[in-house]
Amino acid sequence: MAVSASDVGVLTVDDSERFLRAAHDLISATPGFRVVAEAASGAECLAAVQRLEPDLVLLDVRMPVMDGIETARRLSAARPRAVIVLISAEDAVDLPSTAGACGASALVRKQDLRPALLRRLWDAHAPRGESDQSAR
Amino acid sequence: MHEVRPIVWPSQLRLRPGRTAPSLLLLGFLGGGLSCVTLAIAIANETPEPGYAVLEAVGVALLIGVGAYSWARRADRYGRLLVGVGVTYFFVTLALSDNEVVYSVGRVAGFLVAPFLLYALLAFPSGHLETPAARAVVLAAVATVVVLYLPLVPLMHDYPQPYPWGACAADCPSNAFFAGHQPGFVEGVQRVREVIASVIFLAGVGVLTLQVRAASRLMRRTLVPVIAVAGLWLLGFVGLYAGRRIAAPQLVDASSWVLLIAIPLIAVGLLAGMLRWRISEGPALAHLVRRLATYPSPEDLRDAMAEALEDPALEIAYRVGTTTGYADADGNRIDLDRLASGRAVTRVARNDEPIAALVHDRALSDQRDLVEAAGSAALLVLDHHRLDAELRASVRELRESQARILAAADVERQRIERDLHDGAQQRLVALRMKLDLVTEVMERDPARAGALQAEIGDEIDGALDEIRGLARGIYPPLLASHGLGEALDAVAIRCPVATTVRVTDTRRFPPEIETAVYFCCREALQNVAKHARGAARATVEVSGDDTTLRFTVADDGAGFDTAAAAAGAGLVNMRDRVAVAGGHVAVRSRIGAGTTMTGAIPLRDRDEPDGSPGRRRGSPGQSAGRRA
Repeated sequence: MAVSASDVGVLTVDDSERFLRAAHDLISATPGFRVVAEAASGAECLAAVQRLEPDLVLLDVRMPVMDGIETARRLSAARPRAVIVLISAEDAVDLPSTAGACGASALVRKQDLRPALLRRLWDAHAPRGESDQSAR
Repeated sequence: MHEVRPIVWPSQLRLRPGRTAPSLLLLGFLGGGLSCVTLAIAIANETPEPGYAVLEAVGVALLIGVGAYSWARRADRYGRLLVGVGVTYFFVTLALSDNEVVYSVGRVAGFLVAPFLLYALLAFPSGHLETPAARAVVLAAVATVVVLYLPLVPLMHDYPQPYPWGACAADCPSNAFFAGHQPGFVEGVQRVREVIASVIFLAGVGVLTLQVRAASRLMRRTLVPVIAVAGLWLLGFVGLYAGRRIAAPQLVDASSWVLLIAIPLIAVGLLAGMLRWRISEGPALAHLVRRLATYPSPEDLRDAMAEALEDPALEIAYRVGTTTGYADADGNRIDLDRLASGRAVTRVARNDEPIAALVHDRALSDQRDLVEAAGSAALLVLDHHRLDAELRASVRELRESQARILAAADVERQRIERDLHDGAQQRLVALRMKLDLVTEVMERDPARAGALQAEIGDEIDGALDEIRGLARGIYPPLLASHGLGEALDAVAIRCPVATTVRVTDTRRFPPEIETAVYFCCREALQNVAKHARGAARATVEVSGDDTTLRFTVADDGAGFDTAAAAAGAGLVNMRDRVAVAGGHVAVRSRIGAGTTMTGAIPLRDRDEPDGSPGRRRGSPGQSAGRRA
């Protein structure tokens, strides 16, 4: 599939290699989205965002050392242009109450991730003017 | 089981305080004065048998004197009872007078003194009638006097003769209370009542004999002198009645002397019993104290106390834990509410704090002083062994609880294996098959392939749900990462009964404490959902201070009778979990008043060098998470 510079660049953050591979396949198969990079921890994520300036960060909640919520808090404190979306295999009930106030734009279940959902997320949360720009 | 006042070491090894000196002195004057009055009446009347009068005066003085001694030494009701008998006996001696009224008062008192003295003999030495037989005999004696003696007083012109306590023979004063003559009727009743009274007196002798046989060995030594003279007195009455009936002057004369001599002898017998008791108690205690000096082992201590109290079956139960539990020296629980028949309990305490209980022969209840003194003497050794017993009991309990926890863990593992096998594994098997099928029908029947794919999606969602539920049951990730507040919130949201969670202590605690509190509260909330009929809301509260973490789960449901319901597996689970963390759990419930589970876990004595109660594990965001 052809990748254009105007595609939405996605950074996926998860400590599970298996999930990262699945997410890579999903993003590559979704027109208008491209994989910018993958990170296996919160620290890697912070470094990658600064270096690569992705449009969308899919951030796993449950990770060792620095979890997704803390990572999202630090990311948003740096006011990046990236849209942060928390992803988790857990129900929302079983997530820490701080998940709602860490700077993330949305929280979705990993198993619900499909091309259509990616597109909806971007349309809903992209910075003004950017969602139209992105290839459909 | 009888109540025993707390014993205080070491001041208790003296007798309990009795009457004070002035009241003793008053009792002495009373006894002496009344016997002087008796003698004065006899002298004024120039009595033909001065020996009778002297014996009567001595009887009055001795009864009151021995009563005063008992009252002073033992401060019990027996002393008072005996003083009462002495005063009544003084009224009997008024029959020595030739004044019609005084003489008549003496004769009526003669009817009253017999049941009173019988009571005193059967109630020795406690002052209580201990057996139904003793109560029956005294009741019969009182009833006979009330029904067959007192109502006849106004109907008799003269009192029956011969009479041992009077001074007259033929020229006795008439009955001052005489109202109307009924000679035939009175004569008939007199015959009947003398037979009945004789039967009662003989029954009294029988009951006394039975009491001696049932007594402890120590008590038997005390009772024997009393029983000997009491039997003499009771038989004297029978002899007097028989002598009157068959008009045998020698029998009447002999019985009269027996009756007159028996009263002072009874007083002496009671005194001898009390003294013998003291005399045998002293060496027994001295011997016990000598053996205690060697700091005996629990077995030797039991043997020494069994010997001192002359009760070979004596048992020592040590108070263990803060609840009302007792255990033997090996830590085995002893239920003091379920004793073998014939056994009684005396508790040993220091400053109101229970140390141990002696399970002994019921007969020893009469010798509370001795049992208490023996317990007091052994207090330090008992307390030492109590600590050992407590340790053994808690080790035993811990071992049992560990075994239950291991068994519960095995059951839990089996359940998880079964759930995985029946659920997720079967779904994955079906998925594998359907996936192959999709490839197969893709070309031929795209619509069918689409439907199959949708089914595959549903299967996967179902498997994910099941695995998440199982994983959460094994250990909730929120508890490890964010502590009790968040984890309990998640439980409350899933509870079908509206539940409020208030966690006022947001510190983090060692994992075993947080796990115990979490699973306990979750189990309680599951019980609310399952069992609390009509519950509209529930509350979960967790609060803590420097020393203790407390938690409560309460509902407003129908409640249940905690006495009727045995502790179910759920409650035992909760107790075990909390016990591992050194805490305890209680469930209170009343029908119509909901159910409340409360628990507490001590936070002291943990491995914090700075003594801070909880272990902080960094900010919540930096928790040691698990793999997603």
